[in-house]
Amino acid sequence: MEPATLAYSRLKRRRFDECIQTCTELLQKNPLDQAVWYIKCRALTDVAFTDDTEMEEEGIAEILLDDNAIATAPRPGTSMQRPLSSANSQRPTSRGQSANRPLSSSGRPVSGYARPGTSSRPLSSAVNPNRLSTAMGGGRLNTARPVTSSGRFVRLGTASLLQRPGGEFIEVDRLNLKRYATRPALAKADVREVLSIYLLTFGHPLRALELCSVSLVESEHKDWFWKAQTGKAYYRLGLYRDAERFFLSSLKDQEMVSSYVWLSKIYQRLDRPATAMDILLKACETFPNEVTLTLAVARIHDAMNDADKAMDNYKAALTLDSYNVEAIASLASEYFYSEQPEMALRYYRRLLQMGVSSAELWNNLGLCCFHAQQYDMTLACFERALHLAQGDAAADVWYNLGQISLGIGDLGLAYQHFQIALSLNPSCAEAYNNLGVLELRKGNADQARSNLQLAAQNGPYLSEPLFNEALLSYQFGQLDESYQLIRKCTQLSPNHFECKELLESLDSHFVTHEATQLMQLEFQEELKY
Amino acid sequence: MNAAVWRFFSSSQQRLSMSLFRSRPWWSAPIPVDEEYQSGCLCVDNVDNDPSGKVKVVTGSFQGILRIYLPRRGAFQSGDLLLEHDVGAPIMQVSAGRFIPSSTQLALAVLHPRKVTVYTVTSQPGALDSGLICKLEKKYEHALAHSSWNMTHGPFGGVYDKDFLCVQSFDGVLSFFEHDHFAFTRYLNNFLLPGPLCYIARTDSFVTANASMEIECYRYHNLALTGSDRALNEKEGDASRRKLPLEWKYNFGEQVLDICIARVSRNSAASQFDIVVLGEHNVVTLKDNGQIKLQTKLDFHPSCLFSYPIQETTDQIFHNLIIGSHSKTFKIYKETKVVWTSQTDTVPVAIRTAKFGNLQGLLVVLDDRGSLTVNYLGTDPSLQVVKVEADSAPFNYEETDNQLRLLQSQIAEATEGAPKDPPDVLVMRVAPDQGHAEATSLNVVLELAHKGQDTLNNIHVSVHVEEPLFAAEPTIIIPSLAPKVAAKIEFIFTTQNSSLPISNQIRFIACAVNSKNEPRTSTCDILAPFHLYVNPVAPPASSLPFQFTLDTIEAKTHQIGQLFSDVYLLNREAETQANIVSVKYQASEDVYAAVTGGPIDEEATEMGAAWLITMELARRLTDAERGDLQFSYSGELPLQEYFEIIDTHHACRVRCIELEKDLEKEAEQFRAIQKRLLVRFKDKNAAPLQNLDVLLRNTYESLVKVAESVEKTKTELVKSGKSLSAATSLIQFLIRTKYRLDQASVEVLETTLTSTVNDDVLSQGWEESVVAGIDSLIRTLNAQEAVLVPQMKMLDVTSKLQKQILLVCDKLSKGTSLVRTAKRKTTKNAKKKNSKV
Repeated sequence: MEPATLAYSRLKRRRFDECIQTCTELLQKNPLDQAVWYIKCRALTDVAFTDDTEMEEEGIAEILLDDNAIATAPRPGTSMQRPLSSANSQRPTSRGQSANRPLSSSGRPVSGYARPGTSSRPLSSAVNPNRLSTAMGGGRLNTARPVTSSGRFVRLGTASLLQRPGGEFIEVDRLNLKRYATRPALAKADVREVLSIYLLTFGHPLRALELCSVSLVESEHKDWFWKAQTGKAYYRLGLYRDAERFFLSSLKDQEMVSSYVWLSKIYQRLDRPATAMDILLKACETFPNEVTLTLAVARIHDAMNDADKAMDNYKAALTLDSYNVEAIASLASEYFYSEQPEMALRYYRRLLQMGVSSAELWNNLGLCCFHAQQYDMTLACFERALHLAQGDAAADVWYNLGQISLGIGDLGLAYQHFQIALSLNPSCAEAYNNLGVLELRKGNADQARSNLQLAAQNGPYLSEPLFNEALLSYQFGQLDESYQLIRKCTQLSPNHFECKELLESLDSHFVTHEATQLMQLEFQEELKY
Repeated sequence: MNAAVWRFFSSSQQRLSMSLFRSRPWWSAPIPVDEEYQSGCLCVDNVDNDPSGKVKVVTGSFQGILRIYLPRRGAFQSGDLLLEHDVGAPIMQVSAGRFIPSSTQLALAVLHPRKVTVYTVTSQPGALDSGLICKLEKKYEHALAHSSWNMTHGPFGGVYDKDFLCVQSFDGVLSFFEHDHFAFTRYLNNFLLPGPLCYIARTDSFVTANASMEIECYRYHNLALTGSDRALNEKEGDASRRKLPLEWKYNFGEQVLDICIARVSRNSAASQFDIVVLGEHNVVTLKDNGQIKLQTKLDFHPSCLFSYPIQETTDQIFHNLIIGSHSKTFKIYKETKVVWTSQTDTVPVAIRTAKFGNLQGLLVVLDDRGSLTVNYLGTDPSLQVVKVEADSAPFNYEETDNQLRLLQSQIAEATEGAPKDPPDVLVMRVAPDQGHAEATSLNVVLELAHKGQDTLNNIHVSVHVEEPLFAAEPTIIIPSLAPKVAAKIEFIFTTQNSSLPISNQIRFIACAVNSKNEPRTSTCDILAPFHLYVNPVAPPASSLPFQFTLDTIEAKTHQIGQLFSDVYLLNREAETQANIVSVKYQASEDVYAAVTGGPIDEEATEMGAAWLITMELARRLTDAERGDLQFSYSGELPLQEYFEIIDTHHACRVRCIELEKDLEKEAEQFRAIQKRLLVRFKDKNAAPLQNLDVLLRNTYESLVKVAESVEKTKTELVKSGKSLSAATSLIQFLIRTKYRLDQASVEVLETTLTSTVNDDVLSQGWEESVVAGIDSLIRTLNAQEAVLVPQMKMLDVTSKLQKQILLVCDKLSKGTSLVRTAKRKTTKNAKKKNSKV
């Protein structure tokens, strides 16, 4: 059998390693064989494939250098930067503080399904976009912006390229794109298309853009594919406005689900969730049974902290595709946080039946069991979670075990659990907070305070450590300090009742003190006369 | 207190396409060794034209093995394999169709890289367990000039009851064969790599996908006509390379995996067929004119596509789509809606549906390693059981409890007590015999070492002493110190006559930063020899103004003279036999103090002077009695004297402040005059001085005078501060002795009635801080709540302070403890707390 045929057949069956190997050998013999080159290019691209319609994690460098912001103080409910300002975020539930939905580091509510952009945990990659020091040192050159989130495209790509001696497959800087355009016989549209995808995948958006513009001219600005590619290249370059223009134009030529999703992604990046939603709803009219679109709508609702609407959409998605893991997981977590652990339990069991078996799932099952008072199952679930857990996930499982121990009143055990959690993940702010509370119970006020401060330091998005420390300061008579802490705390969680109470009592303290001083002064004045 | 958040986390990290159900095997064939299959390598049909209509499964591998199976329920039996034949060339595709001329029987077309062969399959009853045996008979064969990729068949050109073959080569040549005749070849336009090929019978056209990610449609009629005029005469090449007339083209924008013809859209007319295109991330359904109809985005990597017919109403037959995926699941779509998902054990490269036995709709699944199974859609949930060892044995609660208890006691042992010193701690020791004292100077040799592993660099050793002792070098820097080597540092102290000594402590402080950038500090306190501070007085001083009597619980006579024998070391002639020690401080003024044994009588020139000797006495007596010695004091507290000292200090401060104000005024005036004079002198036509020069001189003189008095007052202030500090220490000692305070109360007393007098900042002095401290102490003793300490203000008179000290003494005499007895546990519960406020 001919090796090229075999390679192509293997490409179709996603046996990329064998395919790339064969192609490399063939290209060494005949470097100008375009078909083989095309196969290898596709294989490399497919290896490095990431679903580019997903939102990327927004790195701090991108936030800092973002010059696309429209309004610095958006109206409530129109921005994802301030999801808590949503007009109807206050839900009429009688839930207590313990079931307060945790927020991610960006201040958005944690979703039930880990996707880039919603993750509460820092990425495990070497380049952590949430740290300024590493964010600036992105691995991508040739771009106008210091790179953060797109760094992972590069990482994936180079990992597979490095296995071969002789560096990258395509020497991007040496590409003569004009030649590609002027001599169509040499490089036909097909080569250019696969090349453009390659360039985008491996993080050369500038070159891709050149290629796209050349091809667009050739196609007389009528090819929706090239318009969408141009839009993607612009997006990678951070030129969201241009990207939006090209996608809109592409949609006029040909309505595609992915183009709609891309457009909504751009609007989200521009912090215009309402527009993104409009686009998706319009797309839903054209493609009424499309799960992707329904899910995208639900995600935006979720990010806007509008849980009810998000639930509706997740349910709608489930009627379209009853095996959708994301919808089930999101619904489950939503039920859990709205104090219906029994419902959540049913959803998680469904996931389990569908073959999802991860530390996270077992952990969540354990928590649901505990809250649904099925105590006999709780520890068994956690045992399995520990069995499967690795790294930070293990820390979280231990943390939750600590919570369970708190729940059954075994404070000593809880203390040890939190310590283990911290030993696995030394920046687990919640564990520090709880340890602080436990230390206080033991009477070690100093230790408690230092733990609470560590918690506040590690989790600037948490209001609990601030509140606890404020309370501690209050009890020790450091009213000024307490006041400052409680002010910070109210900013983070404006609806925390106890927080408000403490603030009021502090206010009254200061007021009465001032009042007595004032009265004394007046009295002295009177005495003088 | 808020017990924090539940950390409930998101359920999965990557996109999963999961399914509730597993497909269940109905029949499966053994997996061949080292064979490779692609999507065309499976064909399910009644290839041997069995009159009972039993369907056979035909597979062909790249290794050239052709197999025919007849699946029967249950485990695989050797009789299920009807044929296994090595055809000698890799098999790209197998298809069944009416390929035999002058016959409507089904035949098998097998595509090899360089040829296409048509076989007939005949079966006859075999000897083995009531099975059949198949035989292959080669009917005809076409050699191919180009290496092939795939083929399609159908009634091209609308022939009746016949199937012709069309082979697409890897380099884009379509070769048409009308049974055993070769018809013609055509080159596809702008070709790079082949895509799937499909024949649409209704429109008599071919659909394929090119490398530019477009779907193209060619009419058979046009293909046949293009270039036909010359194709017969000329060599194949130029003529057939003429551009083929395209029927329509759809820009799909992604790689195409498979194409099939089916009736998917439920609102299409009965005669209409849709073209379903499976891309890498999308499935689109096109009308037969190339317009897009339906579109679905896939969230998994699809591997294969198959459509099967279902009869929804009596006259309507529609197709559902089965899409296999690389995540080992397949989904069944009705239009764009998922109706079923099922897990498989393998990644399918080809799926077919067929009827075996009496069962309709069984799924034949082939993967690329040749695993062939016939499945039905089971409804068993696929539980992945996580094995936990504890599951096997029944849970032993007692044992676990014991284990937990053991662990906890171990942890408690390990973490008990104060936090441990880090391993690389700095250690300081004063060599006891090295220090030798003379009349006015003291040499101390300090040994410094550290317990770490690395060499420490730049260790700063500082010393802090009280007057009248002065260190020749207050800070010594040691450039580096190797581990386990003691460095010896000599400090020289000299005495100078100055104010009253308030303490004879010498404190050494060493600090360094280790290799991990962690700071390390340690301190070492020693007491300077007493004789450095005092000189013995030959006739014991007597009838000094300040007197008090101490007592010990065990009424015992102490040999005071012996205790203080070292005082006389340098001045033997002053030594007396009487049980008395009488000294003169090395202070600038004549300050005397004397102690007589028996019930210990102390007298001193002033209250502060009694402190150092009292402290030394207490220390020496305690040492002599090996610790178990308790003093008692029954007399009145010398508060009157104490208040006088406070008043003196306060008055000193007030004067200081006033003088500083004066100084400020004078300086202002001086500057103003200077300015005026400067203005005058700058002018070319200077105005008369009008006695400004005299004024300037006078102001200058008074400025100097005020400055001098400020300096003098400051010295006085320091002096009175010292004596206040010493007196406060003495008062603390007496209060402690008189009311027998416990350690906690002593701590409270020492922090509120502090003996640290800091007069560097005039605006906030000792008096205010003591007033604030006692104020807060009294209030917290009374109240349960924290109190706000008012802003400290300079006191006008000391009467308030005196009153407060009296109040504290009064409370102590009534037996009130200074420590809050009902020490409220710091609450954990916010609600509880707040409800009280």
